[in-house]
Amino acid sequence: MIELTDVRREFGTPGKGSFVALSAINLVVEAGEFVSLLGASGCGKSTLLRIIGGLDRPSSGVVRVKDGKARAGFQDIGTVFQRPILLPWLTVLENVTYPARAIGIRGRATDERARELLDMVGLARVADQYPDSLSGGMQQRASICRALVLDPGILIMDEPFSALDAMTREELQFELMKLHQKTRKTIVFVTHSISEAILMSTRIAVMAPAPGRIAEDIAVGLGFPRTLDTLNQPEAVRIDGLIRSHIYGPRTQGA
Amino acid sequence: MRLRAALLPVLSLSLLLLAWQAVVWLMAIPVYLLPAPLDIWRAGLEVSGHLPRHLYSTLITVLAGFGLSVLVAVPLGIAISINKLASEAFYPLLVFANAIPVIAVAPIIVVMFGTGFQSRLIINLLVSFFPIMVATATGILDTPRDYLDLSKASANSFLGELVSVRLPHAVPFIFSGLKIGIMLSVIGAVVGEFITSDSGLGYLILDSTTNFNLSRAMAAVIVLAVMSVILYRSIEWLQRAWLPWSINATSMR
Repeated sequence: MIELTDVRREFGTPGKGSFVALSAINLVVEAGEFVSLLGASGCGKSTLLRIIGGLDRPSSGVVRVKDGKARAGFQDIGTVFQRPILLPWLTVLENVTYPARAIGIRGRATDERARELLDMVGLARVADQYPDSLSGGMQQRASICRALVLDPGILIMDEPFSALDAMTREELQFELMKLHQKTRKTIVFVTHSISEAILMSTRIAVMAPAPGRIAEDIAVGLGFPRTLDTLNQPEAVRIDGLIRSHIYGPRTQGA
Repeated sequence: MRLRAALLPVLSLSLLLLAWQAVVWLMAIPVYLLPAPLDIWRAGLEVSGHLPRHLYSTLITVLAGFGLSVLVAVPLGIAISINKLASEAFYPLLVFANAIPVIAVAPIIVVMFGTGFQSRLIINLLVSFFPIMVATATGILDTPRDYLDLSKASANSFLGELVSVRLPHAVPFIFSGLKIGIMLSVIGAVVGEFITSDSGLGYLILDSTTNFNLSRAMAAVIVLAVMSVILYRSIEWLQRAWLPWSINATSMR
């Protein structure tokens, strides 16, 4: 589904103050997986996601999405950004249908699909309002609808819940899991929250900085549906310890 | 609060006019040096039969010049903001063109284009196009990276991105430029009328001062200022009515 081979991304000119954001990234995401890219800030996880989405290009290496080269605007990928990025001059509904209109699809069918999506996340009644009247959580919900409007097989999400308050975040985490269970979309999810990654993912790629790389690829052997209690299961605790040892190294192991 | 905000300026203006009237009266300043408010009022009434004609003439010059200016400046602003080559080739020239004091070239323009409406239109254009062009270019270049990412992820074409993201984002900037532009257009119209015209408020001012009729000149100035404010407010009103979302961030009252 998504296949990255020897991907390297270097910013600046090599030799003269260049910065290696990603090095030797090899990652395969199969259809229907929920893969989290987990790591501290500066480990290149957002850059990696941008490369999958075609918003950035690798300096070397091959990125294949659905047997084609990754490219910006690939219709089978829906992108959710860290911030909602709703355009203030469009209504919520118009924002949701924006990706359709960008490629020349307009009409009642698209509007109906957008309204269904908004209804699914409880935003049906604000569909015709402008986004500045919505709370942060509502805006991010609308932006998820926008990513889903063309019914892509793949959803890439860059810390989509990190700017939300704790309660809204939890709510959206469970909504997203429900969506994943129902639609079996492939999801690549960037996060710096260990518990968020364990709670939602089928697999976690733990990333490490300088240069950005995948330090450990962990399959999460927890069944669905999951609840907050899932995090207390022995498997979850084991994974949590494993991830922490990678992120913090020997520091915490000795302490 | 609203009542106070409305009444206070009226009160301060009344006091100022009263003081002005008193000073002229007490110091017995002759009317050809400094007319008192009442003199100006009387002169205004005297000339009021002719005022609509002059007002109309100036208004036509302002609106035509401003309209032409928008038609030239907005596309030019778009061109220099989206095309590096166009920007490098033309921007320095445009800065230079704007740096020339229009008063200085106005007589040259009259020689080249005659003493008619055409010359006044060109003078007007030269005065008012620059801020509109710069505001347009600034707005388009100011488009947040986030918006461009969204546009890119949505497979927008270059034109699609310009129309659906960059231009709407530039709207509040363009309106700021329009508000400055319309005021400059009024100045441009008056300059044009000073140099070549037989009607218009600028002509009326010039004609009155050559006859030492300061009262009438000042009455014309006041009409000019009121017209200017109404034009400025009209642009604000247009923005509020058509593009209400663009008000929040940039409203200046």
